Amino acid sequence: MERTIEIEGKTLEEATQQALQQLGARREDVEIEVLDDGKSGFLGFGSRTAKVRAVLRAAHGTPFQGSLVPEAGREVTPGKQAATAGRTEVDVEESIVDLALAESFLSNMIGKMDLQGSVTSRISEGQVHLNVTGQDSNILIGKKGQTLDALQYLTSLMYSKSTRSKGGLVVDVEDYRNRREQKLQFMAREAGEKAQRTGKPVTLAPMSAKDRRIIHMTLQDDDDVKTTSRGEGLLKKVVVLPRS
Amino acid sequence: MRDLILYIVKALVDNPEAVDVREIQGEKTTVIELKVAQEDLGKVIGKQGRTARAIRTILNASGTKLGKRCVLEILE
Repeated sequence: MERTIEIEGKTLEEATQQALQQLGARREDVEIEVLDDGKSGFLGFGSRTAKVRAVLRAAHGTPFQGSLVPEAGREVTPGKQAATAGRTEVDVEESIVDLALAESFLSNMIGKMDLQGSVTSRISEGQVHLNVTGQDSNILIGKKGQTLDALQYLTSLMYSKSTRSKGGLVVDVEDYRNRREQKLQFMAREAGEKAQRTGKPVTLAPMSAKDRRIIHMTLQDDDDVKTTSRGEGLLKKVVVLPRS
Repeated sequence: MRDLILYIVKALVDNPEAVDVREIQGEKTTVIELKVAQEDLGKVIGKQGRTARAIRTILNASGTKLGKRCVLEILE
């Protein structure tokens, strides 16, 4: 069972809300594609309505029952359930639309790159987290996570432009960021041991600010070594020096 | 490729109507020429060229599967 509708509204949020209402569906069961993100114009001149296409897909191959009972464990649940949980209805509705928008930016980009990847989203600690899974995950991560960082940067630019939200946005592909952090921590400890053993400074490969930060953080409590950055530009090297 | 650039750039600029993308096919390399309104130039380039670099990275990633190389030129 699949239904597709196209809805226009003054704003993207309005159009998305209306689409969900018409389908009587939860956000999770609907794919929202932004056809036109609209424009408010100046004094009513040159304004354009926002337009979205909503595709209702049956969750996990089971036919959609029209039930609005949220599943347990969902981080975003629309309507009554969330209101009783102490949050206002408006807040929750807004966060659903925000997620829809962020999701659509990323999945549209991946689609236009001719790559396969499905996007899921959640909000944790007030930040939008987007996770991508699919057969092209290697390409989407890229060398040292370069492509992943570019995707994250562009998605959050698009997202903050259309919502005026300032909080960042995290894009991850199959838990890559976590794995990378662990690998860097391991590298840092190894370099620390080597510096201590040989009594000579150990220079690591050039890396981005975010990666360097992880190295510095890992070794900051180590009494035997200290760390500094060397070089200029975007990619500096971390040098691990023996203390004393 | 052209679609991808159009989609990204239109979402970033204030003046999406003025966005123009041309694709020039070469034997191995495709050149993509991007034109935006004067006041949007900074938006597609970004601080220290960060946005332009991100767009180029995405472009290269989308070409890897087909073994194609793509160059993005931002025209003034």
